[in-house]
Amino acid sequence: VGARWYLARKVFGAFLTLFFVLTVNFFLFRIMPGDPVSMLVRQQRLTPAQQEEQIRTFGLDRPLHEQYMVYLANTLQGDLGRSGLTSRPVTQMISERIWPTVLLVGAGTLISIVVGLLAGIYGAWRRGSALDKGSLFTSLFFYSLPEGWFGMMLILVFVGVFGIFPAGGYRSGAPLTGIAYVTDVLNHLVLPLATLTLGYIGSYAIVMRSSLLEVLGEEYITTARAKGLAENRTLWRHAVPNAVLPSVTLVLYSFGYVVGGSIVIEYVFSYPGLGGMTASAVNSQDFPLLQGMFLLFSASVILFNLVADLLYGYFDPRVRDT
Amino acid sequence: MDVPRPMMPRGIRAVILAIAALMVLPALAGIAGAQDDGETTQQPLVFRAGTLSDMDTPNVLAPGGCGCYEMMFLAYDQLFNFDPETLTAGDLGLVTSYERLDDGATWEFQIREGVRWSDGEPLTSSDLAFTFEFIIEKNISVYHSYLGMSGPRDDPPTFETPDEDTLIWRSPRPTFAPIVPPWIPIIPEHIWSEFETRDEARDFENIPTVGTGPFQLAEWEPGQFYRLERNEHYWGDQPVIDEVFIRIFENEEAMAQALIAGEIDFADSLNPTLFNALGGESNITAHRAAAGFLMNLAFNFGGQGPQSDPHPALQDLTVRRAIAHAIDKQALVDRVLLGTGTVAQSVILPMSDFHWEPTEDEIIHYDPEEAGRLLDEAGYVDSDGDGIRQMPDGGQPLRFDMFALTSNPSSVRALRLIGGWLEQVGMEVNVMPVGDGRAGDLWGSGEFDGFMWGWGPEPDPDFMLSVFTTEMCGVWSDGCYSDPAYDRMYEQQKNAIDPEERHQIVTEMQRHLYEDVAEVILYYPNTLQAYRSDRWDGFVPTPAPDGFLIFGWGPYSYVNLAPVGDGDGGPGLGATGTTGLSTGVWIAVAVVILLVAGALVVIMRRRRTAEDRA
Repeated sequence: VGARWYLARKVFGAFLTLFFVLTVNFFLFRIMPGDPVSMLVRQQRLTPAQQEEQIRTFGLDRPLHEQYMVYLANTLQGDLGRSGLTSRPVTQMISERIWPTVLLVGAGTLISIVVGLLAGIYGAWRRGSALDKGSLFTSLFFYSLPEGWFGMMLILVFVGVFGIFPAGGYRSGAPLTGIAYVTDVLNHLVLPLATLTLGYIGSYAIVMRSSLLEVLGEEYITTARAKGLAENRTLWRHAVPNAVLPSVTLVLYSFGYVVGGSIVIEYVFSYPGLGGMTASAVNSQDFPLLQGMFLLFSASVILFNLVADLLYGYFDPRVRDT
Repeated sequence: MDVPRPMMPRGIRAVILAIAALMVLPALAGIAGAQDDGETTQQPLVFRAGTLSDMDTPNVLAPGGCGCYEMMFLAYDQLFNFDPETLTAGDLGLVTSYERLDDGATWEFQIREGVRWSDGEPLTSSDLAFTFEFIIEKNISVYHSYLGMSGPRDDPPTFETPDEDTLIWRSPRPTFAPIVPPWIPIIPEHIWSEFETRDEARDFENIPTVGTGPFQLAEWEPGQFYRLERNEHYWGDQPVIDEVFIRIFENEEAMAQALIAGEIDFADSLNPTLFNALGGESNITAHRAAAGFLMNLAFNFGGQGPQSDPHPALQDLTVRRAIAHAIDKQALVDRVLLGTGTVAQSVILPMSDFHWEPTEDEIIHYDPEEAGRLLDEAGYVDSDGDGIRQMPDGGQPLRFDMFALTSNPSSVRALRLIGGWLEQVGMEVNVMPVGDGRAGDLWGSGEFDGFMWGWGPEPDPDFMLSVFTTEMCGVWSDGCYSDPAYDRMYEQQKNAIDPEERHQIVTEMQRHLYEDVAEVILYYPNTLQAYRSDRWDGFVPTPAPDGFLIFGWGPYSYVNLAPVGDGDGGPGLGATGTTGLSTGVWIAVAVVILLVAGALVVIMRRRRTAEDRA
């Protein structure tokens, strides 16, 4: 009963949060200082006729509660309105950019999680060894580098000097199919992925290392060793499962932020993802587009939070029983 | 028979396998490389250019404009195309000759014969009439001024097509709009007539485009690139290149590196530092395209709305003249543009036939002492000793809020320099760097004293001159400048069908704006372009002799471009035109990773069992 109740509570909470975000998302852009009409409508220099056109397009001539109902109905049907800058549907603009971002940031997050967690586990296990010090230093070094600068350096070396990889973009645009297409995308992915992964590894390594160190000091580990259990078994069966909880949270939160993209890296590598689009939408005050993306980002974070909560309940029964 | 062999430990076996794979790697790569080479022979000839801004939409008649000029010039013709020499109405568009029928309200055009759309259908005069009527009926307001209309509610012209080769344009009053030339892409009736409403037309994706230009848009990946293919039905000489590939960069440095690495053949809109660096490369030619833009320091004259808050001192010509005297334009060009631009005086660009230059006596020279003298004389003195002058009544200090756009970093630097110069003569500038959207808000509400921004005017002076008329306050006007004498001259030039007469009025209008310091026109920045001269030859600068190579005013370079020597124009980078590892190498890398991971797992498992046994 406890488990089912826990599940229901969490799912309901997630939906409530999502609805709250949906509502805030609508009113936020209308509460901010300035005339909502001009905020949604004015970008660049528009003639009065063009402004009227925009006001009609966005339904801004109708009362607020009516706009809100229309907004809710449209959003539920997947219609996020039209960009204030290009007049193209927001859903379409997002869908064009979401996969490059998921590929880049998703792969980067995944690789850095695997490498980072392993490095953290090994570092804690062989604490103080040359490899521990080395991996700690290296991961912190890359973690603290400004990623934009690091990306530029990679471009200068691997594009300008050696000419091995493309200077940016998602694919070359040649009419390729099958394996040639995959190769093309991979070649474009290498440099931004390297920048992203090297930068992220440090954060996972550190969390994993410190929580494992804590667990390794526990008495039941000493007991396990005293029983004569093999070192590997002590580590993987007894220590790691208990040390992994903080990392589970971190990992799932990170996945929640994947669709947000990486503004800096996407800019440096002209990578057509949602991060870059967010930046340009902010700059041009394209509010319908921003509104759509905020919704997507929030929904993603809420979803992965939910998954984290549920996994937590699975890993740690104490959580769901309370 | 079976001789039992000693078992090799599994971990070691895996490592050996991995080493073997590493040795096979170069061979695999070689095979993949050979395949790439095999493809090279049948590749289309592609010209690749890099630029910093994408189009908004390929729909050339999108109600808010498409931001797709380069594509438009490549895929469509106009009534007249811009003459590459002079940027006036040439005979290179869909019209071969024209005639003014009466006082200038009616014009008759002979349409080029034998023109076909890129889908093979023939073009007739009714396509032209359809295009213009479409704009009027669907209220595509960005194009209204090209039809001689002052707004969507103005009386529109009407069109007649007595036969397939003749178009008659009737305006409600005399106008030179038909021969300016009207900057409107001519669209095919047989495609666009299916759109009943404005919304239907707005949603038209328009890929592939059907136009009469030398190329047609084949593919658009927003934020990444757009690709055009040669139009087999083009009425002019067929271009040498098969495809035009325009790649979008967010980052100028990366674009420059791509040019050096050979991923692109052309880089547009470079900053001065990169431009100077690229000029040092032996296989790259750096081109300073003659000014297509102007940068200005605008003043607020008020009237935008209730929040408008202009500084009273700026309403006084003496203060504006003093500001103009205090600004060292040459220093701006040298220090901000690193020399890649020219000092400016007039709102009409030097590339235009209408451009006016003040005489030596008329020029408001850089002369801080004169600025101080003018202000002293008019009673703007520093009475409280804080270094800032006050209004003659001793009240408000001459402290101005001025903004510049962060999207144009050089203008922020320039405005800071200007602030320093004004401070030396007793005025203070609060420099506000703002984003595009914020700039639009401030400009629209009139909550500023001045700003630094710019214009990229069209070849014909009409629009740029209209910006300073009273009617344009809240529409296009920079700071709501208003002067009835100027407004009258604007109307006169608009109704002057005689070119001589119009030229005279336009000259007088430029002098008027200059002497009244409606704003300070600071400099004309060059557009900095660079291309691989070891690969391509035949660029046509528009306008002659040193205008834009591409991203200018027509398809002329693309039509004329040819690979240098007997080369294919390609860098030998294979089908993709970009660098990268071959498929073989990637497969090898994947194999090695899998083997190493497998070996690790095996080793760990072995060790674990060994420990358990122990």
